[in-house]
Amino acid sequence: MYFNCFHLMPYPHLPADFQENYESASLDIPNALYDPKVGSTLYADYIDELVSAEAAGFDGVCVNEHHSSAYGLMPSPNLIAAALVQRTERVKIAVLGNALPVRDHPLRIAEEIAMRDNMSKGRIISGFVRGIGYEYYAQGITPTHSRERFEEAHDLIVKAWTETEPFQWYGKHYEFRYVNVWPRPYQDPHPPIWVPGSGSYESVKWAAQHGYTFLSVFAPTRVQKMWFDSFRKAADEVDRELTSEQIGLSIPTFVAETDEEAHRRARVHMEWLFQIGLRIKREYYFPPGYTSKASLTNMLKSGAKQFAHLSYDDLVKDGYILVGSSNTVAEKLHAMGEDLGFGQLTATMQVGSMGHREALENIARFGAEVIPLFDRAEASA
Amino acid sequence: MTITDSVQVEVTWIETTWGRIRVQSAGSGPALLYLHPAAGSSWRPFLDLLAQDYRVHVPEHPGFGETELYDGLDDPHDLAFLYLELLDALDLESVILVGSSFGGWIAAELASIAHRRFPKLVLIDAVGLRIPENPVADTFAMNQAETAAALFHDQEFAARLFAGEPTVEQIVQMTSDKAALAHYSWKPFFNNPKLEARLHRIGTPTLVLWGQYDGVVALVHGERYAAAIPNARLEVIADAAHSPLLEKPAETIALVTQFLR
Repeated sequence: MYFNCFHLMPYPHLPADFQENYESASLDIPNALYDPKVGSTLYADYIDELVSAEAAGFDGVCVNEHHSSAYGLMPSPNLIAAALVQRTERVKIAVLGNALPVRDHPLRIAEEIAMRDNMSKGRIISGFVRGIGYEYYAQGITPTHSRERFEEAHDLIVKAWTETEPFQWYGKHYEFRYVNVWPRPYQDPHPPIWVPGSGSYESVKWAAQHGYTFLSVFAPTRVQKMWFDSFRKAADEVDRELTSEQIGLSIPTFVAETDEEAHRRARVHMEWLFQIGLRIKREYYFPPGYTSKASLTNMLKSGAKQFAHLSYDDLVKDGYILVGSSNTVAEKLHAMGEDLGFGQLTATMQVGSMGHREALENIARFGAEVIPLFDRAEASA
Repeated sequence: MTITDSVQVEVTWIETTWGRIRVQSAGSGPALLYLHPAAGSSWRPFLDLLAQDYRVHVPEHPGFGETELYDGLDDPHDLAFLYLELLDALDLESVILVGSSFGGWIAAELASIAHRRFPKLVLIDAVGLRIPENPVADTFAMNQAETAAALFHDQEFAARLFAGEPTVEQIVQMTSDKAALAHYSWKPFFNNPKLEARLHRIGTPTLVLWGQYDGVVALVHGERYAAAIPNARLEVIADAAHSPLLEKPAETIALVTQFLR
């Protein structure tokens, strides 16, 4: 099992009556609620937390892209990743990911990742995502273009990383007469590509066809299993061998001395993440055309609850989160790994309103007491 | 004027360069092309009223209802070229043009390109103009209550219209129609920045109809259409919002038929 420490970089200092007065913590939440003095300290703390994961024994540290949001302060994950390059020596640095369709310039993404790959001597993992529904409002991108732009931007970026002569690109959504990315990536042929997603068949099939790593997003265990199964099925259909390291589970995680203590301390932070941070007006989350007819039908028939309507007990019972003593967490993780067949764990270790000291403690304890219980022969190779 | 029993509606599929278009037709008299709004292409009672005096053709915009979205059709300006071809296929050299809301935008694009084919033009609460100080409301972001308030003046009428839980299939169809609308209108948002400067080309006698309390595309858009089209007149429909054809069908159709006579 490979262990990655993931951070959303939330801004949890919202007014006490936030839930009564605001329907969403993203898109239209006024930035008057953001205090730069508080925020600048958060950035420093959050970067320290990710850096601490290296000494704790994690294999990778991960950041991601969100816009206009109180649950994620990284509209440019590449900036944070660049800071992490300077503060770490061993760990992989994964941007999970750059939201290709909502950016207007894929070559800028290719350039920034290539720069970081050189600056880190090849420690970069490049995640590509479509972005969340509300980001199509936030960035003014037509949602029906989402998948086309995703695929075209990806094709352009990979070609820009691998061609050694300048070339032209006349695509449907992007046109460049001189594509010539300097520097080219440090890793040959390019940084590994991961595809985080909410498991639509279109997405997992695309990831399988390209031989990439599929990483889930927050979801109940039974849904994660469905996504991984469909990823394996898609790989089968195109005769691609998958290793378990190409399947990643994403889950908010908290460990403490005992199960009882862990739940007592985690509760408020997990509740903040799901009930406040991820609170979003339904229409913002699903701009028309972002989801295919087939995926929408599946979603409606599955009767999935919105994050904001999940209680702490729901989160524990359905497996959205992983909380307990080190032994409990390791056992659950081991059992889930066997059952779901994933070989990458992407654990959110600072969760919601969790303070700096508690996040550092969570990371250190997980590194000292959980990671050593797993077979690390492969991971250290 | 009263709403009579439904007329016989014929459905044909017309082949075009881009793909097949479903067209509903009914009535007899001079040809009239009705370009439907975002609410969809379903045959509405007010079309029965028009069909008493006209041969009404209602093409389904690609992506709505049963007609698929086709490559190469990305905005109402593109759709105008689709409908010019459709008129050729239907052998309609001269046709009365009526468009409501999103369909009104396409009608304005069509008339600005080929006004001589349209002896009369009716625009009803049409989107399409770029007025940054009073932009079209973001209906995509609205929940059902907000949508009802923007579309209708009479909220009891709206409540009756929206009564009952839709089935999964209905939600998927509505979302699919909305996706087509988003495809054509997300950016620029319900406007063609170049349209207003082209409207002076429209020599056609034009009636601009607007719901007094339109909460989607405010009356100022109607005033701008009426000012930019040389031979246009603006009529405001009292106690209606964005959908006077649904909320005040008799009054609205009376104004239309009076103008067309």
